Amino acid sequence: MNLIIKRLIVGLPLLLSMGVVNANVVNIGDLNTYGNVGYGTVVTHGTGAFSDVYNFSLSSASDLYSDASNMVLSLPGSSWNIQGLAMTLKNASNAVLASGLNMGPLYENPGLYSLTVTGTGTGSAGGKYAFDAIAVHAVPEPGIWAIMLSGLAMIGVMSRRRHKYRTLNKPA
Amino acid sequence: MSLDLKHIIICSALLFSMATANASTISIGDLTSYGVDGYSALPSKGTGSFSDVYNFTVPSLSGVGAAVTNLSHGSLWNIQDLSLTLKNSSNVVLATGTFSDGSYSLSQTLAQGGYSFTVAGIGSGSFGGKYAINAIAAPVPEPSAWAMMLGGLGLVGFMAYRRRHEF
Repeated sequence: MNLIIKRLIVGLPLLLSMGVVNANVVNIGDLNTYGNVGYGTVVTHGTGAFSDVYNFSLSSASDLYSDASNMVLSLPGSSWNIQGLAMTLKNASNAVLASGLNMGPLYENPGLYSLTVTGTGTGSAGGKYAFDAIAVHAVPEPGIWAIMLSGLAMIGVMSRRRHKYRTLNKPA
Repeated sequence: MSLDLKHIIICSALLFSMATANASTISIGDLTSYGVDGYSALPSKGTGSFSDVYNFTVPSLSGVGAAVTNLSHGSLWNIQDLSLTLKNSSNVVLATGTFSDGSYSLSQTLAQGGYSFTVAGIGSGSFGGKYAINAIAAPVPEPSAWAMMLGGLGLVGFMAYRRRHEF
C-alpha cells in the first residue's frame, strides 16, 4: 500500500511534466514598441503536443493583428508538420477574447494580454509554425473625435472674437 | 531638348528604383549550421511586387528543405501570388514550392556548392505584405561513407564469426 502511494507520488509529477514538455513561455513586452513590423518568430517543436504562450502588453489602445501558420517542411528522412494548430487571445484574467489562426483587427485597450498557440507535431521530426503579432495604433474613438472637434470650434470662436475686437478698436 | 533628356534620365532612374525597391538579397551562409531550427526570417514588404533572394551554401551533399507562408492581417497586409524557387549558382531553377496546408514548400538533395531561394509575390494590403520563411539543411552520408559503414559492419560480423568458431 505504501509502495503504491510512493509510486503515485513519483509517477504523477513525471506524467505532469511529460504533458507540458513542449511548452514555451515568451515575454514579448510592450507590443506597441514593435511598430508596424510587429513581433514574429518561427518555432520548431518535436513530435507530440505543444502549447506556447506569448505574453505581451499594450501601452495604447490598438488594433491587434495576429497570425499563426503551419510550415510544412521535409528533408530526406525527416519531416515537420502540425495537426490541430490553434490560437487564442486571452486577457490578464485568462478570459478568452478571440480565437483563430488569423485574427484582427481586434480593438483592444491598454493592458496585459497573451496569445496561446497549441497543436501536435505530427511529422517524423515534429512540427514548425510561424507566428506574428502586430499592434496598429488605433484610430481615435468617436468620443475623442468629438473632443477634438469641440477644441477646433473653440479656437474658431476665439479667433472670431479677436478679429471683432480688433476691427472695433481700429483707430479712425 | 536638354531639359527633356534630363527629365528622361531622372524619370527612368526613379522608375528603376521603384521597380527594385522591394528586392533584397540576404546571405544565409552555411545552411547546415542552423540545425533543426533552420534559418528563418519574417520580413515586411511594401505594396507592389517584390523578389527576395536568400543565398546559401552546403558544405557537402545535403538534404535541403524550405517553406514560406503568407502572414495576412485583415486589409493591411497580404501577399498575392507568393512563390518559392530554388536555384543553383548559375540561376537554373531546381525546384519550386508546392502549396500544402498553408505554406509553399520544397525539398531537394543538393551537392556541395552555392544555391539560392527566391521568394516573390505582390504586397496587396494597404501597408503591403508579410511572409515567413524557414529553411533547413542536413548532410546526407555520401556513397563512400555508406560503403565505409558497410565495410565496418562486415568487419564486426567477421570478428564475431571468428570468435564463435575459435572457442
